[in-house]
Amino acid sequence: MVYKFTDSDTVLAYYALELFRLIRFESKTGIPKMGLKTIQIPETIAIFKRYRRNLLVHILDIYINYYKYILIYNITFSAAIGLVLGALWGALTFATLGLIIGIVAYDMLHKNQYYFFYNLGITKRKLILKVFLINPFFSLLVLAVFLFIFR
Amino acid sequence: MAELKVNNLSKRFGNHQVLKDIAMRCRTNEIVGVFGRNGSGKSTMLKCIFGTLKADTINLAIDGSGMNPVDIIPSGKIGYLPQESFLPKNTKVKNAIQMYFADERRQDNVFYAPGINEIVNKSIKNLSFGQLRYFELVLVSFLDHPFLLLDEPFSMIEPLYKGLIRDFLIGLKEEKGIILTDHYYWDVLAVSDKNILIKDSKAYLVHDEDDLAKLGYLKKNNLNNDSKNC
Repeated sequence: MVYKFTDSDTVLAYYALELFRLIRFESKTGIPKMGLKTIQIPETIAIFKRYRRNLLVHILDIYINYYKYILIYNITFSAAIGLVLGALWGALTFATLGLIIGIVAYDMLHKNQYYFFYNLGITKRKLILKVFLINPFFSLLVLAVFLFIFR
Repeated sequence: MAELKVNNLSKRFGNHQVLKDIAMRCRTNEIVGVFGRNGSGKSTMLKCIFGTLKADTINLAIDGSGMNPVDIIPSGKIGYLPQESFLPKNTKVKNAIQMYFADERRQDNVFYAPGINEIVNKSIKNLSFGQLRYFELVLVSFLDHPFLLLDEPFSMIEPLYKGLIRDFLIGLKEEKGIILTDHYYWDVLAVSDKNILIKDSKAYLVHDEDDLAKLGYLKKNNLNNDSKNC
């Protein structure tokens, strides 16, 4: 199967690059790695608002709608793991197994909602692929919060 | 005028042959009604055409070009209204419209569709069954697909919304081809241009309720009673 890049891929790539740039900036300047203070949240929000009117972010909204359901199951599962095995394991679970648990739970509990996306031309395979692209971004945030709190 | 052609559609679940060599055609400006008793394979047929259920055999063509059913969803050629609700429950009607249509003019088309204004600020989970079904139909219909597959749009709907749906479908067929399945045969016959009945895994062309009775979908007695009621 040949994967076709879409508009939302461009937006995701933009945010990934933006995050990469911030991390690189931190490592060069010697400011603590992934400290929340160094991620310029107001600036990021301003960028997001500017793009909000854009069709690309409209498409991203659709994927976020799918992802937020998975996020709820992922957070619940990861928090349970975190309580039993420790916060770091919880954060690692969030980035890996929790995502799969989230997708399986969505498949079991909201199966019919896939038609919401099918009618927009988005296949299940494409949704899952996008979620695997979005999740590392949130995983980094979770990890950053963890490091900020426990360092 | 676009044309959707289905040939040689067969599907078997274990030892049960649900569909065998089904053939049908639907053009824009046309509503095709599909009848069949419970478990006869109506929904299975629609899912096989839409590509969410793998058929054992199927030849699908749109405007003469053969298509693999797995390419139907990405192609955006066919929209599908499933039997059960497909909208996220925690979303507001207004937000669902905005999520489906990026263009504000197209959003307005949906906002100003009959009956939508009354529900626009409600959450999906607070809609009545009739409101939800009608809203789902409107939402899917305003997308660009030239063909629509509707699985039981009239089922369990109060008369007010049935009328809205009937009028909406008649207006819609000017630009789309619609394949429609439902047990409420009076509602289907009122809007359809041609009809098929699926029985014993095969498709039969039917014209009216007499044909449905002859093929055993309706009982003669029920038919007379229903006619009087209507």
